[in-house]
Amino acid sequence: MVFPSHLYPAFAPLPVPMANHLLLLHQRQYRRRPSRRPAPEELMQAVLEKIARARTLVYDYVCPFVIAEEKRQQRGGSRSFPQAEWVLETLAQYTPGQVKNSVETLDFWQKKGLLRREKTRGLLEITSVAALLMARLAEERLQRNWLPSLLEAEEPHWWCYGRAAPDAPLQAIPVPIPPSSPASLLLWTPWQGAVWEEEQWQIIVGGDGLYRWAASPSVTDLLVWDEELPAKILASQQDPLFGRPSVQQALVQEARYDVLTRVVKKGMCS
Amino acid sequence: MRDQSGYFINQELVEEMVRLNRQAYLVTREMGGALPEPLPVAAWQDVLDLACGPGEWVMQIARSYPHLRQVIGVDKSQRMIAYANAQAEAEEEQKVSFRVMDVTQPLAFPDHSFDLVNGRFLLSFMRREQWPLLLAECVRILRPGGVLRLTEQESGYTNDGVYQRYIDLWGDAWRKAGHAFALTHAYVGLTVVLKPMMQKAGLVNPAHRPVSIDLSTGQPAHSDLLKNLAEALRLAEPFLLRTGVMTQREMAKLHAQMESLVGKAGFCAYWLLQTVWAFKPE
Repeated sequence: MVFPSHLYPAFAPLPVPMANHLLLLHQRQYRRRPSRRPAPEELMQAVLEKIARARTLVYDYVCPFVIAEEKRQQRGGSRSFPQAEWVLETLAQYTPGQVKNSVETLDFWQKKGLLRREKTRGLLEITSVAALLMARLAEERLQRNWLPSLLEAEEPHWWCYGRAAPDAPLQAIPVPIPPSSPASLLLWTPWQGAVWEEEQWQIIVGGDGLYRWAASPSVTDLLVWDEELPAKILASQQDPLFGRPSVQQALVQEARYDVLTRVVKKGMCS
Repeated sequence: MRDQSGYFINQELVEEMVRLNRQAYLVTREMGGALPEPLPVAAWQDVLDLACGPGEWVMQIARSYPHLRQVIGVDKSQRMIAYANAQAEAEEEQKVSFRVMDVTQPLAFPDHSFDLVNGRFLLSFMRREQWPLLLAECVRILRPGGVLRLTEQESGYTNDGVYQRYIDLWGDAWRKAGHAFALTHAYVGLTVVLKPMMQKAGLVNPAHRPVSIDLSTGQPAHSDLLKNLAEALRLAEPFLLRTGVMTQREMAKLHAQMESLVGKAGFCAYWLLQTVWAFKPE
């Protein structure tokens, strides 16, 4: 049993094989009691609930460290978080017997694609670490084999929700976002840490996660979502007062944010 | 998930750090701020928070009283202190610092270091016989005229059978673990003995302020705090099993029942806290 593709964004920022592995482990609990095994939908729901709980905890826990790191960098310090030791100690709290893995284990996970490092500085990628912590929090019973054996190189890091137009069907969109995605593709995720790595993700008051456009939609692109605001800006482009490129650029930026806010408030992200 | 800290929940767990942070925020809000008592805070410079956990109270008091020179939080858990330091750094609170320190041992501060020594919910790790040493240490590190301020909990009351079981469970557990002072499980009794213990340690002019947090359905603290208390039950399972107050199965059932109280029509409960403070003689 594996998660259907439409549920991929629900377990963000876990990559699909990690979530499927958690599902497999959960299913195995009923190996000796097959008659008590819940229906597949119930099994999936139970695992999604575990993941959602782990996601909230990991975000709340990691967030101050990430912000502190940003502040340190603004003061000229170099990036160090998340340190391997910190990751290993956190994982140990959720490992039976509090057994702490070695740094070599992190290297092994990296070779298997289960943990990513930044290409430039070799530091652990924060989203990848968050996924690892979430998987561990969601499965505390096993000392070993709580991760899948491998993540293929082409495996998307995680998935978010996407919708191309108000009446278009909901899609699962891989992250990193494919460059071929239309600029006005609306994206959202329950994973609030998405903003740690991509600043385009935004909190919208009244929303329940983070939201963004796939790229930088033009005013004409935004008409798909909201005729009112972009139409006003299109009209203003004729006005000599607003005709300067820098003003136009600022207006388009504002329109992108305004339309995003209106779309979220209208409940189109569900 | 074995607790190695002496605290009733393993403080190194992510859940516990996040839970304590939320609980501290809610409790501070329900108490009317970090320091709602009529105390001479304008004359103070240096403040210490004992067993500070993730540092919520320390951050609150630093924000509320910008004139303070330094606010220090100490806790036994190294990871908790790392989390608290990260929060202070994230909020760019320069005057705040956190250190690893076990408050059941002599405190690593010189005499007369602080104007206020604060502590909240020390019941969760302090056994009865450990109080005299802690209070003596607090008196030692306070400046003349300084204040020791402790906020502790009592069991509370309710109209609901499930919540009553929850209250009784903790009453029994604190008693069996040697933390409670009452002779019955109906209440904890620490708030009753704080004033005499402070006086015995040499502090004067003790005073108290009771706080009753309304956990009833529809009240501001209801949902968040009730969920928080239910989570504490789940996380404290190893401690509660050790004290023998309930079986694992009973605890799982009570946890599920506690969660079901959120939003329950007609549910009423009050969580009782009491702040007791006293002064070091001039």
